[in-house]
Amino acid sequence: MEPVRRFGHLNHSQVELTHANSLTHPLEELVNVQHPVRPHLLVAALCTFPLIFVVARLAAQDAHFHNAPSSSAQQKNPYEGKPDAVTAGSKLFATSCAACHGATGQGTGNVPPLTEGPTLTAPDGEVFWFITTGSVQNGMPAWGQLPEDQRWQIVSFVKSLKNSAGAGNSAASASAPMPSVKATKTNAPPPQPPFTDFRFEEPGKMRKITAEALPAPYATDTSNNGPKLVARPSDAWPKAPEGFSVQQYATSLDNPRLIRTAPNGDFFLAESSGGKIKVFRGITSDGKPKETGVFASGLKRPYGIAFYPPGDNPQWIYIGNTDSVVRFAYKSGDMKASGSAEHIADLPHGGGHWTRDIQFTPDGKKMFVAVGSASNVDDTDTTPGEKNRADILQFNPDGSDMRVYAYGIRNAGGGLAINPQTKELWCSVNERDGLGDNLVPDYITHVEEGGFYGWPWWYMGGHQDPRHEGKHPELKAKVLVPDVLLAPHNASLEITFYQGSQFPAEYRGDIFASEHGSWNRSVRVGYEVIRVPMHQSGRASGDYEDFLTGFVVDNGHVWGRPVGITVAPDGSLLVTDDGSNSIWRVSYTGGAGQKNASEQKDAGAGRKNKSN
Amino acid sequence: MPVRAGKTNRTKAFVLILAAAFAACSLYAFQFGDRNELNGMRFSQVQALVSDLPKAKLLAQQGNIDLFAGNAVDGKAVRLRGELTDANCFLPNHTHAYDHAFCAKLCAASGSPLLFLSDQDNQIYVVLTSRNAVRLPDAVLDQIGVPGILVNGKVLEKDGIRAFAMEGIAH
Repeated sequence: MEPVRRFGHLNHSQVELTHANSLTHPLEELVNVQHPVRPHLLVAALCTFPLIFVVARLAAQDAHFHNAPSSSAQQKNPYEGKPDAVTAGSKLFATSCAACHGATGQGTGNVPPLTEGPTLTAPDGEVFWFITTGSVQNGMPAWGQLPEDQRWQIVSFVKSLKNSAGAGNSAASASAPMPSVKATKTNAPPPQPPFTDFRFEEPGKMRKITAEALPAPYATDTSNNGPKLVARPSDAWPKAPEGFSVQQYATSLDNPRLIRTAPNGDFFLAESSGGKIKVFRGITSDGKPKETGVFASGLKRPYGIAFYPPGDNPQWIYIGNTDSVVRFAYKSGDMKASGSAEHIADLPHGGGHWTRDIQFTPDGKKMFVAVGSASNVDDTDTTPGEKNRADILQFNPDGSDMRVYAYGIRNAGGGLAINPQTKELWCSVNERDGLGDNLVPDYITHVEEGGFYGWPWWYMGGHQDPRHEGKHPELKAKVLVPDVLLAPHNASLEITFYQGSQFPAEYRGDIFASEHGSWNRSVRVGYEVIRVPMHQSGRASGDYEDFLTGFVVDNGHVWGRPVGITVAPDGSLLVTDDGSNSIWRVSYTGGAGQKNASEQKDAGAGRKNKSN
Repeated sequence: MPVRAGKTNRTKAFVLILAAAFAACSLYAFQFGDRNELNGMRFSQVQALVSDLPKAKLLAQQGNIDLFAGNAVDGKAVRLRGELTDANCFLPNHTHAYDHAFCAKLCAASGSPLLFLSDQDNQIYVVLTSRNAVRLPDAVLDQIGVPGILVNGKVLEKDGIRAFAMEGIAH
């Protein structure tokens, strides 16, 4: 199942530090990642801003580094020319700065690289000033609490990146010792088919898991193996089957999640953490958006996006907040909502599983909303908080007449889709944890009205969850076996039916799905895009294929996590990635061999970062 | 009867001396029981001693305080499978540490009792440490919120409260 917890894997001793009111750098660095603009910083900045502004305007008539006062440039770095300071600075950088600026200073998400740009040319004193005072506007924390000598050492290290940048490569080749990601090797034996893990995921590799192949519960220990996100290594790039190329369509996003293509070809993206819906229009010749805008903001963890009524001329955009469905008036081509959100329906919320995807029946008469369970596997008979959860709910488009359309579906909030061929509702489901590495398979399936898919008492047909031994024997025969069983703990999210014409003909009608990746598995799995062949029949055979891989560094670290997926008007595939905070674009080029920007940039560099 | 009167006075004096001696001894014994005022030590100071039990034992010895640190908790040895969660979230709201492990660890670190939710019998156990004044192993605490962990320990039940003195992760 998908974890929603970047902090969930801090060990206990790290957490205890917060209680002791003695934040040390590793934890503080994490806090800064999550809350670059912390409230007390904001207050402090608001109080000091006028003064800084006046001083800056008076003292700096020309452009200084982040408007540093002129006097700061006069400050000399006491460690200038001292290699020991660079070494010490690199260690401080690793603990205090690398979480945002990347392990090698190459930048992550919307945090700029330090291996190029004004940081390298600004006087040491101005960089020191900026590190000390920070910038609320730029999300740069103030590091004034660090001892002065340590701040100068960081300056020395940052300045040393100039040499590496000048060498024409990233900081990886710097003469100074670089903070590096310590590889987490695994000596685990290869997985037993039909199961797999990241070491064996390869584009084009077909897989099929059946209910009969499932092991007994607890055949292996449960695992706490959440990914540590790192910046994308310079030689890493998503890997697609031969004949496809991969480009980075958009970068510096804020937690990009579900993405949907509007009938006019615009791409609507949920930036869930920031409460925004963004719009991207068009694709330039070099594969970038022609226009970008914010359609709506101030939403509560938005995820699902649906256009209503179905067809070429929708009048509304429905958004699945974590606690409600709202809608905005919409005209084709709108880049910004013309009015405020209209409340449509309240949704159960709280606990785990916050994503709420939305779809409409093709005739527009009904709206589906997927609401995942609040818990891993609590008994719904005795847990009031699970009411109307682990279900796909159905409403009228105005929010009235709610009923349970299908149940026992642990969490389909990550992805609903309408099969354009059969007009059936399909979903992508995160199944339960805690039964071992190879249980329970996530799945993609068509959804039957009134269908029961097992949770929490049963799974995959007549397999009883041992945590609910003896309960609900009358339901055993009712449990539906999903169409496509995926690797357990894959964390399957958005799905889309490929209706483009760019890919080879055999892809038409197939499902593409984003697999966010495991935490409850000893050797990680997922972190890829898969393809589910539908054989031009609208029906799945249970097979699926690795399609886009390469997001995992090793068993401890990943740099990318696919979430959303949609088909662009030109037939290319867009994949959101909340690990690198970017959108990837997969195009069919038909040529022999895969060509992508990374390989062009680092020709011959190979792909040797998989250390296992 | 001067002789008789003198004898009576001596007896009275002897009784008084005895009473005074007894009172002095009692007072001294009372003070001697916590002569270094360890029982009034601030919690934060005591907390620091968890990492230095030999020092705590020495202090207790010097202060004439009984210390049961390190003593094992009695109970029936078992191996349980389930989830470690914090009581502050689970008891009022039925919120598991699963999916909010950071929050649960923060609660636990601030002193919230831990609970163990057993998979086998759906019982809720108050978590004890297996030995007095010995912290739960970090390997156990790191598993807060992970479903299906297998742990060794001892179960005891008293006055309707089930407790699980947790020793460590089992494999």
